[in-house]
Amino acid sequence: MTPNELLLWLSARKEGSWRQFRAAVETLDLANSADETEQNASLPLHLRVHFNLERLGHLEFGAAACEKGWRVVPPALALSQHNGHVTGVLCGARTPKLLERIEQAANGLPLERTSYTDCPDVLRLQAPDAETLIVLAGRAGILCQIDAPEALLSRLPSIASLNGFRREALPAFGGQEWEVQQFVIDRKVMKWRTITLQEANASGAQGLFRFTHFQMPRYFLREGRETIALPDAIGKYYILFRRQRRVLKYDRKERSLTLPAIFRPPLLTERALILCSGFPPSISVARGRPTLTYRDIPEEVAGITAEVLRQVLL
Amino acid sequence: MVKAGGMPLQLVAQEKWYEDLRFENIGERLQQGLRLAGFLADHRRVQWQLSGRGLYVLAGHPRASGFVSATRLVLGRSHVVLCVAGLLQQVESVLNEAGCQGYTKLDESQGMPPGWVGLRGVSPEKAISLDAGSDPFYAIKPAPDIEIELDGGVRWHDSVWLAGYPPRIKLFGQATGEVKVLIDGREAWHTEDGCFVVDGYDLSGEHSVYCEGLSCSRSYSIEEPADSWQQWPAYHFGEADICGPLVQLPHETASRRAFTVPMSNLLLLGAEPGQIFRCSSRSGAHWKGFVPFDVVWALPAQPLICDKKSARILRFSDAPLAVSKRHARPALSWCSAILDASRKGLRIANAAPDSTARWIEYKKAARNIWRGRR
Repeated sequence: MTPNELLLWLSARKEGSWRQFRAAVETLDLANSADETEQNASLPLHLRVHFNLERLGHLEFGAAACEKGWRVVPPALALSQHNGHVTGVLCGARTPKLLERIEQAANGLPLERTSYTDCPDVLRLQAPDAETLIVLAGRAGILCQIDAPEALLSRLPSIASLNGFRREALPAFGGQEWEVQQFVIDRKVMKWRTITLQEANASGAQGLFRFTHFQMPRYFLREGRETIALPDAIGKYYILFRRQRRVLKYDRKERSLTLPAIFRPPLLTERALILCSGFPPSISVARGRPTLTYRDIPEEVAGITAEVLRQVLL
Repeated sequence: MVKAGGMPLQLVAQEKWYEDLRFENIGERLQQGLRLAGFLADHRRVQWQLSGRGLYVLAGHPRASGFVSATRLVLGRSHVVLCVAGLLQQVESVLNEAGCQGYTKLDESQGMPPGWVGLRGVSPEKAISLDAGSDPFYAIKPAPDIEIELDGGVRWHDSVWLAGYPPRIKLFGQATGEVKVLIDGREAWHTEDGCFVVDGYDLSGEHSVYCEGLSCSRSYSIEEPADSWQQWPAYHFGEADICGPLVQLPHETASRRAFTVPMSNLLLLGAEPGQIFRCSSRSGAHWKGFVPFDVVWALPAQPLICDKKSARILRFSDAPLAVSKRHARPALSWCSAILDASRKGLRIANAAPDSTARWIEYKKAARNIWRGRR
């Protein structure tokens, strides 16, 4: 099975368990194309495919109504405004018949199909205005999200607001063997440093901590007297915000947003960035550090991203 | 939860299988056997037993990923054979007789348990007859039986394939003569890659495959999945529900488009007194986002303290004033923004005569509301 066929299979099944997804991915006929970012260097195939499907807005994992598994998103055209044209990225469920219907509805507008590592083909349409693509989506019987990146980003809470996350005690000595690390920012060094369970639980310990058990990491932010369980990326950007460290670099000429791979944005923020072009970020190494570059990012979208992540663009 | 020799283990059910169990001494367990005991939800006692032996055959399975235990080598298919090191010479001799070539050997350095050897890519070509009585190498002596295999394509579930992605139909085994394969009752022919097809074998519906004169048949069906998926609130922030790229909002705001304004004019006003929106200050030359009303005017963020030489009032719509009798408290902010811009003497960018007239209309309304409130 190829990633395209996997998405067809997932679309036909509509929803399922995590283990069922993993078993299906293991039948994928993919080359061993490891993602070389800090986070993804050692990720197995099923996780790489999972993250890509989620970032591209094809599937939701562990969200409401699919807490213990996955559920396919209804087919939708995500529109993004660029200089002089609008791009529509096809997200969600696919069937051969649906793709046929979209091509017919496109009425001569080319449906651009590009293959990409560890994910289904990126399907895009371009038109001079949004109305053309809205009408096309209506004819094909699929949903349409106008200004998709801005619509997503403008609804996300700022990184500085931690109200939605659970206050929870750090794992202590419960007989389980935890690998404990603290996220360290020291001048240009930003990395996870191994510490002891006692050090993490010490009364004065502050910052972001990673507790790993059986390769399952959990992240905790200790600030003041509070300990908050939160996603990795939100914890990192919160630390950056508190330290007033800037990591987002916007190139106006290239219309690209570059950041260190260790600071991959939170899921929905990254989805918004990816929907600008339809493509996951490219990975390169600059000064010995892996970096992610998101392409075709309008300046306004870079601005909202920076606002959500409480960053100032470099 | 099950127990193996007193050791508690978690047996996790997958869709049709239990998840892998990991043992530290798997080599010993394979050779000596393993018994798992536990209770079902209805308190019935159950056991799983693996009898110990020094030789195992593993093969692919249509409903499991990787290789799982199989009873015997099958002609033409690829297998993994596991054997204790002491049996390797005899095992290789049998495999050689079965025409197995090009398989690779795996040892402890490649993850095999101590004392065991793995042979990967074992693909027999010749059937071997069994010794009289109980043959200790039964598992690696393939029978000549003909088998129909359905693989490839996109299997939706059980024996149902997705339309457009039919199975590949192959024949394994060693026949004494020519085998006639029939699909849907019609004689099938070979493709270049050794698969059997007939016209229509890949169309939606039920299909059957059998070998004439042999008790060997399979069936499969091809179906078109229903083209219906529902949007659901995967994430919820404020009034917005998010699902993939879709952002669902309450009806009155759902149809609004993103609004763009230069960073120099971050104070937005609508036609109705009280419609005021202060954009956040961001990096970049323009602010883009969603404003809960149709914007008519954009003023500098602080009209009174801006530089009047460069600052301008921007007009985005020619909507006339929409005065209602109920002025909420923000109406005062709306009024003071207009009056401040007016006191400062800010000019309208690219002012047309009707723009000036419209601005005067707004200014009068703001002054009236302001006076009425005091």
